[in-house]
Amino acid sequence: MGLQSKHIVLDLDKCTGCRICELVCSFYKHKKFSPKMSAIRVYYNYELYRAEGFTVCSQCGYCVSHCPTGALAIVNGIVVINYEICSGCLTCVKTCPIGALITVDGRPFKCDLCFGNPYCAKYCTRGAIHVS
Amino acid sequence: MYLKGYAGRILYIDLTKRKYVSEPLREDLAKGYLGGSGLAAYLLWNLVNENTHPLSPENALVVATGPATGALAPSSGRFMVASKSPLTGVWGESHAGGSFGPQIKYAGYDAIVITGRSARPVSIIIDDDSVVFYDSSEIWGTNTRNSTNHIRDVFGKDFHVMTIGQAGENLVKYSSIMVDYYRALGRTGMGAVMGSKNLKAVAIRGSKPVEVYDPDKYIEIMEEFLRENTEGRWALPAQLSLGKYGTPSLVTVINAIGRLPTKNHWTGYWERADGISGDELLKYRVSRSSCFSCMIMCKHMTRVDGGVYEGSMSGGPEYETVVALGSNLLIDDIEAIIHMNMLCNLYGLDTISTGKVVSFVFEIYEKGIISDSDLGGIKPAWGSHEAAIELIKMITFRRGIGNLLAEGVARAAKAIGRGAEYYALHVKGLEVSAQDPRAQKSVGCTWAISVRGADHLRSLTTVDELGYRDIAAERFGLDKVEEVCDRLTEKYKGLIVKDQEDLFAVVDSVIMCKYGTMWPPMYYFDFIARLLKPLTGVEEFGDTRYLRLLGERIANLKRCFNLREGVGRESEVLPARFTQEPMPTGPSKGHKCDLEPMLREYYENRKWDYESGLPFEETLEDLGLGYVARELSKRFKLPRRDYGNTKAARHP
Repeated sequence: MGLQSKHIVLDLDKCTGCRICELVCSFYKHKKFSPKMSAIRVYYNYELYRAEGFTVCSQCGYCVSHCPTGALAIVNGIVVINYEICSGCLTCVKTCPIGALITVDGRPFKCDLCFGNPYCAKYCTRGAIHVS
Repeated sequence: MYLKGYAGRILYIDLTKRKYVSEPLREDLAKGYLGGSGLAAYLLWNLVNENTHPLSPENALVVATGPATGALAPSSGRFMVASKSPLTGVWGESHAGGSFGPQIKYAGYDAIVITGRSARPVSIIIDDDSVVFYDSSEIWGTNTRNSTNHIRDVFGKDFHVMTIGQAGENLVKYSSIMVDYYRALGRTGMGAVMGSKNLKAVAIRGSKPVEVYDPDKYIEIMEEFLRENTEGRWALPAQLSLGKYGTPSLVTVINAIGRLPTKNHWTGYWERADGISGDELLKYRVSRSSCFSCMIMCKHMTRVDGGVYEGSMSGGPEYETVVALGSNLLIDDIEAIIHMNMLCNLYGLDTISTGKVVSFVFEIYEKGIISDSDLGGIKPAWGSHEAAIELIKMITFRRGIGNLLAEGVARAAKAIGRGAEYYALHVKGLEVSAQDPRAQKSVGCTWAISVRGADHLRSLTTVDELGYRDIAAERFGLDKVEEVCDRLTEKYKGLIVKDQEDLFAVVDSVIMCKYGTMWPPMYYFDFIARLLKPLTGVEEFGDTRYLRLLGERIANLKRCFNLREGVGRESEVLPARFTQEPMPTGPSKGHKCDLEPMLREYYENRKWDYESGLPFEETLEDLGLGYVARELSKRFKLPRRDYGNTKAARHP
């Protein structure tokens, strides 16, 4: 499943740790500003001025096969959550192998690539974020 | 939460009792003082008074954020601390970037007020609603890097830390607070205030969101700002200078106009400035960084490989540091500057004040005011980085003459006497920053009237420095453009400094960076008004006239804070070097700074009485500062001015 999927990639060498991607993500998805509510999370080393890693959904689809209610589905290579079916059991959050799913207001939340036009990439003036 | 954009609470921490309580942020305070610097001014006005000693437990350290902090606004990752300054004894405030400020908001606080004194060294660890007092005897005496690492190792890597080094512990009067390793709350000795409270560090992380009143409208403005930043008029200049070099790009530019402080501000031009230019520094840069929510990316890290100073690595140095420890001391060894910058960062010293104290020692030694016997083996000579490094260490640990120098250049000069005062360059006790009033007249007014002393960040203007004629016309009218844009005339400089002080009072309260507001002069009251209304939902904030009123109110309140301390007009003087010694060399050769006409113009525009140096009673009342006028009138007889009978006549 994962081989053809598109997902967000962060170029660690270009990242400057401004966290605008996190703010923009939380804002477009929840209308609030909070890095803790963002689907993309950057780990920045303030001692060395270097991004050391990032977490964002790789659209591998592992969670889809574990969802007991069938709320998760792959649409055009993007794993999406149908919140009308989702029971909030958070199995997906627990099973995600890279910890990309987070809980926001008791419900799972993940990157859906903003349906092809991710805002985090748009706002990254350094061009560190792109879809691959 | 009633007002959006704000976190809505203020955290009060008493270190003596080890108690903390959080109270709601009063709506009238948010509306009347915005946040940040304005809010801190209101809180400090009430928390301390003229009898409070800056290093006593009663003095309060206010850590504050503004409504824009953590809400994606342009370059809004900053926060500020304010306290009564141990260096100057008057209003002290300092701002820093990085990612600490937004975490205060995410933890649910607009401001943190720290009072009292702990019996043992302590750190405050704030994780959302919980506040932990962490015994820090173990890290007392360590440098800022080690203490930051220690706290992050114990509590988690996602904590952001502000900490003092040995200088702050030893109550060096110009010690800084270092935030996340390399961002400095540098000026006015805030580190000593923390040191006097036995407070080694404050660490914070938060998980709460910042909400917006009108998300759709707000993001529309953000999109516009994004376009402006990538394609607008200032995008390319900003990327080519700040983005590429950071602040040291200024060295070459400033030298070209003859304003580069050289040899303890003896002149404004240095032939060897190429040795400390942005290009030179670029060779040592290993990585670049941004503050939270900022697209400029002006921060860089430098490292020295090989040579005497091998392994020296730190954030910066910034323009002010390169000048204070470089051209100001005639040191053109950039590796030595990087090393000294690292030392200052590790010890927690303000690089500006430190540089000016060292250059003061160099000059009075040259003039024979102090001799070898006073110095304990150091050989001060222009260009000697060995002597400068030794002095930095002596100041930090208060060894030998360092004990005296740690008190700041004003007190040290007074103690030394014998004419040393002439070479002590300060206003109100704060060492001068890296500008020169002879080459840019408005700097003289800026330094003189600045509430925290000789400092560029409260009202430095760039329209005259770089001659932005269109912006000058827009802000001050077509008829004034010629004079406003001429950096070598005193005319209209009082006016533009007053205007810039009001703008910065708002900017420092919102809190945004000086990049975007000072240079490039992109954002003015109108932009901030457009930003604040959809963010907070406060109708008044959308009105530029109201924002100007707020700017005036905050600027007046801080000036009155100093007045209550008994520091007024008589302290608004420049060191004689700038008013009597004509610039000896360089493009600005022959110029002196004539302060008096600028001050007069400033007082007139500020609606203060020049003769007595006091505000007119009406001025304060019109700005909603009646309580300030009442308290001041216990000490002074405030003058009254007959504006006419009605309030409307006063504010046409």
